[in-house]
Amino acid sequence: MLLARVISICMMSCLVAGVFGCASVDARASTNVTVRLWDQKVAEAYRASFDKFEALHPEIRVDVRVVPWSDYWTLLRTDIASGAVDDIFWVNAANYRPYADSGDLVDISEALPADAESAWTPQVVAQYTHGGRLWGVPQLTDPGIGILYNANHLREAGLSPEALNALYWDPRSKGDSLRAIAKTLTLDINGLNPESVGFDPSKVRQWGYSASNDLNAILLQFLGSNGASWQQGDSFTFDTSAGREALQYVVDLIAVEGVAPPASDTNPPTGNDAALRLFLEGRLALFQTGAYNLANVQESVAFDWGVAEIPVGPLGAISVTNGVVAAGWAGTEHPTAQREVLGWLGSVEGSKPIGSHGAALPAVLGAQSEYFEYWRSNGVDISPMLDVLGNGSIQAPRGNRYAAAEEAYRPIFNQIFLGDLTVSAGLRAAQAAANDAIE
Amino acid sequence: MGKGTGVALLALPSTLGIVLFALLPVCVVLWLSLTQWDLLGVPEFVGLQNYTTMFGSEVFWGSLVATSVLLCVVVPAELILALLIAVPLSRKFRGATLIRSILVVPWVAAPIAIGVIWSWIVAPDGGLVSQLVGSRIDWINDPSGAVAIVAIAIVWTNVGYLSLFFIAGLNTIPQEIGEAAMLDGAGSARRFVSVTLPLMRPTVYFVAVIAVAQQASAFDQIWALTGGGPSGATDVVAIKIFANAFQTFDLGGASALSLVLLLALFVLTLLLARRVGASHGH
Amino acid sequence: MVTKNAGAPAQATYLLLSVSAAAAVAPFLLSVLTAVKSPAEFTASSPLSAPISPTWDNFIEVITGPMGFGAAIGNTTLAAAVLVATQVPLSIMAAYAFATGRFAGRDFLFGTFVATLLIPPTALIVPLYFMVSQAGLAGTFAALIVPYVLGSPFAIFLLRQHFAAIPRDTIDAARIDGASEWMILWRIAVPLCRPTIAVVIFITVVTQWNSFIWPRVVGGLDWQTVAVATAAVQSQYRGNWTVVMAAATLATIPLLTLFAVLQGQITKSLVLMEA
Repeated sequence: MLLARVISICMMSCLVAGVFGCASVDARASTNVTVRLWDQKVAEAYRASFDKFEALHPEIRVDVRVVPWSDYWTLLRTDIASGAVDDIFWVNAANYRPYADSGDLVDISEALPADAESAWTPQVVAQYTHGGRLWGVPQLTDPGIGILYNANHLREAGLSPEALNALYWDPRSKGDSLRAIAKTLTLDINGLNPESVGFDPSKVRQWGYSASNDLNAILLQFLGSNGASWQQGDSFTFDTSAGREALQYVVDLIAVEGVAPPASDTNPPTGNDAALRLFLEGRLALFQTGAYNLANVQESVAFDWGVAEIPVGPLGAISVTNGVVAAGWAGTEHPTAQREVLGWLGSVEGSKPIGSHGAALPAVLGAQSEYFEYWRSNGVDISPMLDVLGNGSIQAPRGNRYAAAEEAYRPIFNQIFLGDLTVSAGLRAAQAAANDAIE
Repeated sequence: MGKGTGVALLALPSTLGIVLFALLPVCVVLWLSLTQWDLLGVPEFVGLQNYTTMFGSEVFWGSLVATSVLLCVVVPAELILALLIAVPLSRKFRGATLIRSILVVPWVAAPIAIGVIWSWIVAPDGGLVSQLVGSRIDWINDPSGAVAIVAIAIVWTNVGYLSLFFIAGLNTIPQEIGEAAMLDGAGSARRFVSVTLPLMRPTVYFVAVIAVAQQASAFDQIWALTGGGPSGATDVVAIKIFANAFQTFDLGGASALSLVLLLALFVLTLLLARRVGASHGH
Repeated sequence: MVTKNAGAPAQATYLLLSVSAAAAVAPFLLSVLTAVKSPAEFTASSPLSAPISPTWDNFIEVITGPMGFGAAIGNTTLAAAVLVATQVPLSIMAAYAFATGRFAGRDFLFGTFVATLLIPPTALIVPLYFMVSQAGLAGTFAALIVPYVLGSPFAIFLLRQHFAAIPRDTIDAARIDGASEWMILWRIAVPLCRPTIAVVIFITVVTQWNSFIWPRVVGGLDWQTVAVATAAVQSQYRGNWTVVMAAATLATIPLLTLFAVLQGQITKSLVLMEA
């Protein structure tokens, strides 16, 4: 009868699905190490790197899994909590502390030989050292933030790329070169810029500069270049007069000068990639971003582009620099194999593909030349992103409960950018909310 | 009595099911709301702290407002549209069953996929509406626009399904009553309002209960469209529960919020259910 | 209501109904249309236009790409199959007990079942997650289905009405003949309610296939379901609409096709449910 038939079909499909499941497990390798990260480009580089590793260690098989950024931290937490996470996973400075504190991460200072650290970028090692121990193998280090420019737009505006070297911003003057140049590069569908009569702000076909509520690419640089800070230690300290000045300047670029897309488009989290997409579509002249977007741009754009240094502020051009590490899961079932893979990731051989694929700048010092070579051979000089770090840097986001703080301050910052809150009221509220959240 | 017990045993597994997975969790959420837990450690007892934080938080009250606004927009819209469609569909004509089935299609599709499709429809860049109009239509990033779009997507999903209930209700109204009204000379619209509608009252309240219960839990479409809305405009309680639990990792606070949702819905459905009971008395 | 053309609605009403029906399916058709276009063609042409050179590339990208959509389809099918094999028979048993049994507390118990239908599922996510993770099941396949295997109050509600409609005499006669309740249930009652049971099976499959928030929370990366994978594609391929629509299409079309096949039955059963 019907029900019996249906149930037996279900049992059969269970069996079939089970068989398929088993068949997909590779019978060759005796140990399977999995690696989790959020960057698709680096994942491809890892695949090449691990192919080499597997050739050297035939008994270990390494699988790479990509999780979208928007889900990464949720999945990491629930998977660690349920004891079913990958053996190796990426963490960043803003999010790794809770896991270090709760003993879920492998202590790299013990797991790998002591001299391994000397091969890595010191700033990244310092960023992930807590309680005297190192909590991950440095994988990526950001060069500083830079400006990607659309060479065609510059040419049409009568500007040479060298003109961007003179970019400076000054919250107290009315005529700094950032505003002037950005306005020249902002065009509506009739080819008029904001300085001309008849400019229609609702029909802009090309934006001049990517000012937005982007902490890593925009805010930290303006704060640092004006002598303000984001955090000191774990506490949030951006509500100072220097901080208010800097933020007001950025907000005005959007709302007053009209050289950047509306905040409703670029506010996080939905607007995270808005500026990137505009740049790729050829609708943004100056895209301030980090090296993490270089590969995206290079494979998608049809126009000439280059890299310039970020605008100089009252206290110079100060950028943030960040690192990403590959952390080991303390609860792994294959500690020996896991250590092998971690060691490989921290080696020059293992990290070279990250650079040679142009995916990111490796934190392993000996592998970094690959990255510069890659861009040089593609006709792009990325030295402005590195040179800016010579001026010093602003502290990157950190702390044990940073995720909670971000949940608290981000909506307030969004409101500031939308014009629903004034900068002074908003910064005061945001700093209070963020500091409350981390208690 | 032996026979009675034998049959009763048939219901035992499912009874165990609702005890374990519907009733027990209510007790657990009460307990969890008195603790602080970030998934990594163990829940730590903190008394009423989560409640004092919650009731003192602007974000919480904003979320209640967003939930109420959406409720007051979605439920009446659903009821009115479902009723409007049900009236012609309750008659027997060629294609009636087919049209009824077509209208139920949105209810069969995954709400998250519906949200994803609507997110494309209203996307400012490359979305259906923007492409058709020719310029960038960006209502989804405007607080009121987002509420409107979310409401449209949810109403669109549910109207067909809810209209089935009204069709059933309309079909239980005896023909004689309609005929009597006709003989009295009442026009068809007037007939509907003064004769049919009052008779439909129990059905309307019944469907309202279902619609309200559904809307209180509405998550998927909102998540795919706005993730919580510009400036918290669509940050309904269900979204906040998920965000607090699995993005901020404050499961104690999320539990307190869940309890508030449970109580609020309990009160609402009690009020509506009384109306259903009262109308049945007619 | 008696009118001159008994039952045939006016022109205007037909128009209203046709527009409503079109509105109900248009988004799905448009998503399929978008999914078969190449990204280049999508940017160049109107979203309403048919593709000049339809391509499967978007679907291939979704299924074989890094979001694990292929595995998600397998997981979801398995979960639905297991639930049909467990939840449906157990719901049938309970519904039969409530419809034909005479035992103390029957109506109160049934009332409790109906009351649980009004508990918003989102409010129980956190405690259920706690319970499941304490049991050590978080991140396993079992977690996807455990809260649902023992029965569905909705299915029980639907089935009870139909079981109650079976003539008392048929059942009493069988009892007098000495048949056990178990045999009466499976040999007599169930065959009489086949269409409703088909509907219940369909609803079970649909509910599991469409379920998002629970698998998202307990499935982890290893046990993603179709709904979860669709959302993952939406965020990973943000702005790349042809791929995103391919995922949405894969998430909806299978069930819609199944529905199209069974639609007469289902709509009729749902209509009878309220009565």
